[in-house]
Amino acid sequence: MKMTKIEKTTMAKNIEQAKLDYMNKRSRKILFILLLALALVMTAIVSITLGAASVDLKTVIQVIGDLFVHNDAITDIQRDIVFSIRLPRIITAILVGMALSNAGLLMQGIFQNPLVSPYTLGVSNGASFGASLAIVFSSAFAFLNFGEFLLPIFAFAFAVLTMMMVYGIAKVASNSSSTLILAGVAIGYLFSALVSLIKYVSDMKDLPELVFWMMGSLSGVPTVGIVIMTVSITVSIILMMWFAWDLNIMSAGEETAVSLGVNYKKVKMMSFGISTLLTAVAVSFTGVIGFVGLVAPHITKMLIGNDYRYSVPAASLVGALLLLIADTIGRNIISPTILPVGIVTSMIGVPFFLYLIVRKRGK
Amino acid sequence: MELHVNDLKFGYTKKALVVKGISFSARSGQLISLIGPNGSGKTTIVKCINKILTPQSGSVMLNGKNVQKMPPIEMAKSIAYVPQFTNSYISGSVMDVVMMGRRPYIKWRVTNEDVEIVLKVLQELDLEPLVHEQFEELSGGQKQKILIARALVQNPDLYLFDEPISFLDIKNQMDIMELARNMVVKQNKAVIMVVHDLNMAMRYSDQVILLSSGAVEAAGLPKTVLNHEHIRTVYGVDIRILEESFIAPIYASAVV
Repeated sequence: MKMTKIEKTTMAKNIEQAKLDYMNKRSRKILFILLLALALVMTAIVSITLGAASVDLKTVIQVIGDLFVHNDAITDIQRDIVFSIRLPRIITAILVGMALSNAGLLMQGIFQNPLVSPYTLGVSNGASFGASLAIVFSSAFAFLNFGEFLLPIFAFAFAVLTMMMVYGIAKVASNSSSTLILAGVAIGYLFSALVSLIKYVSDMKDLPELVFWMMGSLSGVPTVGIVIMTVSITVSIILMMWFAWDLNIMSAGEETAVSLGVNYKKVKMMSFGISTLLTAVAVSFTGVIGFVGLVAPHITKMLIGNDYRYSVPAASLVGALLLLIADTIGRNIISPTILPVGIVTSMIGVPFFLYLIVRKRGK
Repeated sequence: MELHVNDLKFGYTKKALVVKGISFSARSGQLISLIGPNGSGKTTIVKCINKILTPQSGSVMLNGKNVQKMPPIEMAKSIAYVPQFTNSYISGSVMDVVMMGRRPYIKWRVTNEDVEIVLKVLQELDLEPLVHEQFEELSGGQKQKILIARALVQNPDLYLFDEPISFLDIKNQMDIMELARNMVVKQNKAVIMVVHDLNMAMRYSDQVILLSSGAVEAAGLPKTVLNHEHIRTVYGVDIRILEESFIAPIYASAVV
């Protein structure tokens, strides 16, 4: 079929137009990520001024300025509120939100399953078991000399152990995604039964701490914890961005990925490693915080699409925003009582998630 | 391009082989159809050719190089694969899905050239109006064509199509077979296609390989392979070949 000159010109024009569309879309995505980042900074600033003790924005600026130029008007209490209480808490919220959101994004992509969260494979149950051992049998493990790090170390170790068990079982069985999920759910039940057992035999004095831990809390994370989280998240985000194209294609399934030159087994292993690290680090310092890892990736994909080159930074920011907003509400809604952040995220997360399901069905 | 499949053996379990020592060759400018009953090993052979499955023994040589030892990216530049579309759930726009085919050439940033190649291929297949649509919301025929577009932007020497027309209406079947024929004739590519429609195989193939429980029953020109005896042995049905009809010369009926 021979094309006339006019047809050729319209064809070229269409291509130019479509190319422009593509470029515009790309710029819009980058702009959107920048806006999210701005929103996060604003929320963090607002959050730092809200709380049981009133510290207004001006004071916060003065306290921070005091670091560089000494200001006599600043009291020790104000300094403590900003640097020892609110700032670490806000940074923790941001980091944990980023960690869980990215872990969820990875898991949903690899499993090609929108219902998977960082906790689906039992990691949180394993971590809870480790934490409960550390809380209830702390004296028995005193010889390890872990001090205040006994709990996070145990939680982390059991989170990783759970993942290795699940992966090992799936590998022996058939290594398919459904076996992996089934093995994860089963191992998760096992550990949750063991946690119940520990609760059953534990002293009344240990029980509140255990229950409180399992609700998740962003307070009291040591500086070392913040450093560890920052390093883990930075490394993970760099790796996810580096392998963004491989991850994009893996969401179309193993066969397509292999035929397009992706080293599927390697990238899948790496993804499990990253997702386990992110989840385990977050859970071991802050307990089990639900729904961020499930909902944040969904919101991200709805807002910016599936391309990991954009969804990784966007999911980081969405997760951080979600958790920071939830925690700020939790700290202030019935102030001075602080609601555990796990409760608030689920309170916000569940209705939103249901809305997503209904909306999808409606389509 | 020359492909040599030598004594290929594969089994999903160690005991039962699905492919029991298959050999054949393909070169540029050839459309080869793999036909045979369900479970005769057609799809498995295709998956062994592009490393989705690792054969238990035997080799697949592409231009003298063993495909199993080829770096993944190099293989992806030479061989494109279109899976059965019913198996693919992909979220994302048509643009995103077709752009995946540029993966072997993209380092990180999508260049102007990549976008141009994708748009040109979409235009050639008359799919350009769908460029912003969500892949999942398309019809079966459109999805199948999009997956073929993805293979085209990969610009390989060899295309592997797994049942590209099985779930399509007659118009879409013809479109895709014509497209495959064009790739072979005009661009001197090679196409290996798993197909169930004997008439389509007869009409469009240069070579037909008829498989029966993991072994080659007959191979060669469509006319010599697709005859009464072979079809009866392999499928257990009687066929009549209508000399006067070019479009659908094979008429099959149950053995009585």
